Amino acid sequence: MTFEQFATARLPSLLRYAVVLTGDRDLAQDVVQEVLARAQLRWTRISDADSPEAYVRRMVLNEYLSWRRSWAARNVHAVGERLHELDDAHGGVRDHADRVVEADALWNRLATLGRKQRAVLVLRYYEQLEDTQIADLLNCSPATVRSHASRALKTLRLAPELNTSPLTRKYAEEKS
Amino acid sequence: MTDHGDQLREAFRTHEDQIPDAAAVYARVKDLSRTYKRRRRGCQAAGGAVLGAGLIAGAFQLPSLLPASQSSNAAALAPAAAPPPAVLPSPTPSATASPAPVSTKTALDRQYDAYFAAGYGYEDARKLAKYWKISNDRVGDAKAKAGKLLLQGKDLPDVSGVKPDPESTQGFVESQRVEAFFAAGYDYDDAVELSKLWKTKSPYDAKILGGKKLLAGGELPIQP
Repeated sequence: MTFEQFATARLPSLLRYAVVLTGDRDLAQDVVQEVLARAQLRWTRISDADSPEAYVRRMVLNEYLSWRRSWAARNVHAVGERLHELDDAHGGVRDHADRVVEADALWNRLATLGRKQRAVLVLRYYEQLEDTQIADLLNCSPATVRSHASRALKTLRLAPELNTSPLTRKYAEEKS
Repeated sequence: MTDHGDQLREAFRTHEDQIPDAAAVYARVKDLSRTYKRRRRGCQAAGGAVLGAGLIAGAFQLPSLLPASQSSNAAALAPAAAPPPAVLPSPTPSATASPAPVSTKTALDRQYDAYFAAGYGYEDARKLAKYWKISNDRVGDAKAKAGKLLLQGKDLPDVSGVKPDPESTQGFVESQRVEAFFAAGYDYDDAVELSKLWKTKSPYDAKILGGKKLLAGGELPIQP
């Protein structure tokens, strides 16, 4: 498979993965562009891999984890904060399906996680990988993966939007 | 299947399609790839000895182009183990080792680089955008305008809360070193190998150290 064939076939999937990883459309674009540009230079080596796609997805993951560290992180964090503000201002989007509203709230809370914590959740629940596979990708132990996941889930569960949002309270009231 | 797992899958599924235009991304990939190829050729033509001067010249000349206060600020904020000269062109480059500096960066890139090299970040840009009456969805324009002022040796307007952040400067320096590492043709696998050789905490730290060495005119123990 040539690089062009690979890119044509897999680019949308890579972009979706990057959007889920980064939580930011622009950053996802930057990350995928950088990765594919470098992948093209080394395509002979990559195409020899057992799974070129897995190789490139790992490049996307690593690029995200190391991307211009502090200031990029501040940027992404600010995006999450702005979305929170937007939600607060609207008092929740009542005219959308409730599940979508809850998913939006969780998506916004994900923006407040550290990169490794978010990556662990994406790899576990979006990529459907086992903790041992995630540990291999992140160069850490499965115990560390579980620790990242545990802290991330704790942060998300503690988020007021998830536990005490007007919608959540409405559900509770309707069910009672 | 856990409840939180279901919620997370739903959150990912409902947002994964917010992707940019794939055709535009692919076009940019081709552009970037050509740029990297040119850099590699430039590097190989110079015997691979020195990357610094020609590689990302626009960015690395920035500290010397910034106003004295900004430049010294950026220099002072660099970590002790990573002296600023590592990101500056060598003052006395060897005639045989230095290719002619050919910046592949656009004017806009240089403005952005000036902005971040000085230690300003996204929140500063939002405040500056408000001050300059630039809409919130054009915050990048504020960064570029601020960067242009810095390159001209001018101060930024005195806007409350707008001040350089040491972490931002350090992050910028790191990102330039990482960029130099990749631009020389090295990749993640090389970083893993170097990390073992140098006993760095992570492959990322090896990228930073490798980029620093390359920008200083050194060579790495493995070939890209």
